[in-house]
Amino acid sequence: MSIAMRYSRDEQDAADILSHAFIKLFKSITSFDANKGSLHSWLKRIVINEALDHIKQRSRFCSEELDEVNDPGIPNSIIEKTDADQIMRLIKQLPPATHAVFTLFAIEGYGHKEIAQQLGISEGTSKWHLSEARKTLQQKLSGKN
Amino acid sequence: MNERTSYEQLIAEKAGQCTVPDMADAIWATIDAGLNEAPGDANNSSQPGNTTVKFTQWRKLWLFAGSGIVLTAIVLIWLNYKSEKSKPENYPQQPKNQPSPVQPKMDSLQIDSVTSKKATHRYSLPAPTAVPLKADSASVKKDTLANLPPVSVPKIDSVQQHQRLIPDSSASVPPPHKQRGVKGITLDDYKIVPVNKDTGNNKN
Repeated sequence: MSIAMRYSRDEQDAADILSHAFIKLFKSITSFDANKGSLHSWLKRIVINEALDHIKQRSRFCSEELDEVNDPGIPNSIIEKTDADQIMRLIKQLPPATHAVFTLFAIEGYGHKEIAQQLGISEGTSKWHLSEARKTLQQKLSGKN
Repeated sequence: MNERTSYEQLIAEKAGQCTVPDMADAIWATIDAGLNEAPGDANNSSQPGNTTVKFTQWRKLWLFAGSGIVLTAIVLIWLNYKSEKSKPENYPQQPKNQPSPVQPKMDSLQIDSVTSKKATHRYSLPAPTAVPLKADSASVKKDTLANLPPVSVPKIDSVQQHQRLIPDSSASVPPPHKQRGVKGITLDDYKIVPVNKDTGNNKN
């Protein structure tokens, strides 16, 4: 549920993502191969794919590209002082496409190449969205404190 | 800078600490409803490829049914074609412009026999001259008819058709008899008219 919550706007959206992911899991449980990975990682993969499908349906990705991601820099102290739910609320205020790229990169730890493959965009576009997310979060967190 | 920053790693740690709403019942109800929409898939999930097998069976069934319908249609068309082809061999072909032969009515045949006067046979027909089939044709004499130019009559078809149907009828009819007796005496002259006796009393 926490994974679904990272990509969704609200609780109901997260519940829909999770239920759809579980239905897919039960329907294709016969194709699960324990040698390839654990059931938990497989379910996590299904939940993320379902969440990205939701995001792709309701948002468009920008066509702008960047070769290098800009980093405005946010002091760690600010992050440490801020409540986890509050940080997640700030992240969800980002545009859906930017929100998805930032979550995949910063929280899930995917590289730009993987993000580009999953979202059907170029690596440069993924970098541009990450730059936008960093810039916006820096402004909001700096302004807040 | 394409690597995760330190503050992003902190954000990832914080993301794991987020409170999760308790919506387990609602989520399981949605999952249950979603799985019940396809009961075959949910109940037989242990059998891989069951849906594909069913689809293949239906496909085969439709294929057989479709091929049977097509085969039946071909046989019917062939039979129809064969029956149409065999028709001209059994029956003599008639000209397309002329209508199909119709049995002539009794009235027209009687009129013809009266017109000719010579024919004694009930179904005898006159010579193939244009004879107007009018209601008062019985009063027209034979000589007058012979001198008249041939007139196209719309109802002549029935007579011609009758001639075609019985082509040898004129040949089989015996030659007309010579008239005997005194000329000018008709059958009406031999009629016995009853004399009413009361008629004279009424006059008086």
